[in-house]
Formats: sequence, structure tokens, C-alpha cells
Amino acid sequence: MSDDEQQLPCVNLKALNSSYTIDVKMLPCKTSSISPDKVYKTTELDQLYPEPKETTDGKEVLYLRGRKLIGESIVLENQTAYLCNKSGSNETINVELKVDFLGNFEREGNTSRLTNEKENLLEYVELTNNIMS
Amino acid sequence: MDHLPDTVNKLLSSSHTETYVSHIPAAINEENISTTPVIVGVDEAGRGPIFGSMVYSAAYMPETFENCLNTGDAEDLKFGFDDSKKLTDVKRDELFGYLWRQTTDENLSEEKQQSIEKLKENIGYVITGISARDISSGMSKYPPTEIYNLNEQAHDTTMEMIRILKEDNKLNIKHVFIDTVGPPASYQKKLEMKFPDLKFTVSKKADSIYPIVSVASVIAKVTRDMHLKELNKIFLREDINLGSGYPSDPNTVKYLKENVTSLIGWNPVFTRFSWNTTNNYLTENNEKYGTLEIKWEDDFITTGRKRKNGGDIVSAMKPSMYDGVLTASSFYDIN
Repeated sequence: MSDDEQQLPCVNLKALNSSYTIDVKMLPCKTSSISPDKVYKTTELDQLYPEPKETTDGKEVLYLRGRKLIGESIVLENQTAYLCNKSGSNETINVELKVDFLGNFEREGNTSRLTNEKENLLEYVELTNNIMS
Repeated sequence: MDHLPDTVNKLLSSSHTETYVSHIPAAINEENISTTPVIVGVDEAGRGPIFGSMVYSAAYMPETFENCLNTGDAEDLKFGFDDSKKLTDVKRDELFGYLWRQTTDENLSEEKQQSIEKLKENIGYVITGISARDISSGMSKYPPTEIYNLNEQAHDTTMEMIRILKEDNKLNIKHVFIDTVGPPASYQKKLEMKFPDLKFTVSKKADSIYPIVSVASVIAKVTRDMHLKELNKIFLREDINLGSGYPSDPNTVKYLKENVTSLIGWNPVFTRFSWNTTNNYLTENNEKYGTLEIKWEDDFITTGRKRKNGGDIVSAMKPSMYDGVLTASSFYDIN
């Protein structure tokens, strides 16, 4: 392999924990990096949801630091999503957990963007599939 | 929970804004409801603190009963209703107790018991508790043009209470007296446009000037304080003291400092995240307080007054400057 040839990262499927699945909810905010122990050990996630749970026009509602977030599920037909993590100098992609639920959230007042983002994602998946097939 | 007024039980029924409407008092019964002119007083409690609901109350009574409250006239029943801030906790509880308790203390003199019955027969009320959760979410909408600010929430709540009394209860409202913290003239005009057939007096310190506003003031204050006390019992250990909810109160500062959690911050049922006080813990000193730094789109646009003006923010956006939080298509939506 020549020096200027880019080395593709490899995918490690052995890291997959098949005992668990994960719900992924994409929120319209950015956080500093969170160490895995903080992610897995937090007991605060339940407090994002009001009691009893709420919906708006059939969409799931959660509250984070006073902001009302409204979300909808994204169904990827004939696709399976996985949560991955990168490691090592060659940035090996470790496939860690199978995604059971994928949802996209927006702030109250901005939910029209949900449709746009959903279309963009589905278009991206379709395009990727066409390239790969 | 018969040890609590129905106003408080209603607020405890959810973490959202709730309204309680009392029965129409006996002096304004069904037969004479359209012929009995009533006056209405409106006041609020809990506009400034970081904890608990902001409670609005509209109290009403027949116009003919006006002389019986705090006028010094011969008819004055001498209950001592006044601006709730001028009264002690005990006095406020006592006064509202006369209205909501089913039974009257038999140890009181017969004359006092009769006065209390007369008070009950003449005063009705409606309260709305705008919950901490709803205050926060209304003020945190995005984009900034969608923000439902505290004044708008207060005005809409007041107008809805008046509508309930006028249309649902079908009261013959003669005059509405309202205590305001903002400019009275523009607020009065807004009310007169909404209810052109009603007479309004919007004034600062109305809770000291007009007895019916004093009644509303006491109902709002007692309801808010009792509600927050119950929330404290439900969600926190007994030895934890929330304090007054103002940043100058050492108990409030102690609570905020010792109970902040990494992701949520504090319990959203009684905490207003739209208050700047929370920024110290959740956005400015994350490392110090062990909280997770969370950046929202607003934080990448601009801050302060410009945020509320909506229009300016669009031109201030430079997506290429920021890393990851927004996609280009996100900006196109706003544009």
C-alpha cells in the first residue's frame, strides 16, 4: 500500500452485545463528550418524561432543562440500525448495540423541521443503498 | 386531602397549568345571577421565584358587599384583607380558611361565626396556577419568535379567568380591578379590546387599594405557598428547605447548589429553568457543579435581548463557524 493510499477503518462486529437493544433519540442540542460510564449509569433519563407520559398530535413529548421536545419515530424499512463506537489509531468501528427505536426530536415551536430532517435522513439512506448495491 | 383547599388539590393534580373555579356563592344564586352586579379583583403570587407555580386569582362579590371589606364603614366586617405581602402567613391562612373550609371553628364568638358565613355567602373565586414546567417551556420555545413570555402568559391567564366568570358562570360583571406589575395603560387597553362591554381599572398596588383585589391576593398567595409546600413534601426530604425561591435567599442557594444533578438539573415539576439563576449551574460552571454542558441552537446565535427580536438572529447566523450542532438544512428552515 502506498503512503498516499487511505487506509479504510475496519468494522468490528464482535463488540456487539446481543443481550440488549437501545432506543436512540436524537435531540436538537450538543453536549460535551460523555464518558461511557456516565452514559450507562445515569438514573436521570426517566425524569425527562412527565408523569403521566404525554403526546402532542401523537408525537412523543419529553422535557430537558425546561425545554419541551417533541419527537417522532423514524422507520427505516428493511434496514437495521446499530450504535457504533470508534477505537484505536485506525479508528476501528465497533458495532455495540442494535437500535430498537430511532426517534428524532425538535423544540416546541420548531416541529416543522422534523419533516425536513426525516426526509433528509431517508433520502441519505436510500442514496447510500443505491451506491452500495 | 381535605386538609388542603380545592385550589391546591387542583394544582397538585398535574405538572401543568390548572384552573379551579369555586361554586357561585349563595348571595348570587341562579335566580338573581343576571341582576346582581358583581365586582372582580385580580392579583397574582409567585411571579419572581425560581420554584413553584405562578398563581393568578380572580375573586368576586356582589357590588353591595363592597362596604363590608376593609372600608372602616359601619358595615365593615373587619376581616383585615390587605395586600398579601403585608399580612403574616398565619393571617393569610386564616383569611383564606374562612372561604374554603367547610366548617367554622365553633370556639369563635357567634358574631364572628356569622361574619364568616356572610363572607362565604358573598365571595367566589377562580384561580389558575401556571406551572413551573409550563412557564419554562413557554419561555424556551424555538425559534425565538415563538417564545411565550411571562407577561403574555399572565395576560392570557387573566383574560381566560374573566371569560370563565363572564361566560361560563354568567356573572353580571360591573367592574374588574387588576393589580399589575407592568405598565397599566397598555394592559388596560388590551383588556378593554378583549372585553369591550366590561369596565376595567388596572393599577399598581391595586391589592392595597381595592378590597376585592386584596381577597384575590390572599387566595393566590396562600394557594401558591401551600402548593409548593406540598410539592416539597412529595418530591423532597422533609429536612430540605427550598427557601423563598429568590436568588438572595441562602436556603434557595443551598438547595440549588447541593441538589443539582448532571443531566436534569433540578426537579422540573417545581423548577423554572427559564430563570437566569439556573445558568450559573447548568451553562456557566459545568465542571464546578458536575453538570453536563448542553448547548442549544440559541447559544450559537446570540444572547440576551437580541434573541427575543427574532429577525436579527437570522442574519447573525454563520453556520460554517459552528461545529456539528446544526446542519445547513437546519438554517434553511429558519431562513
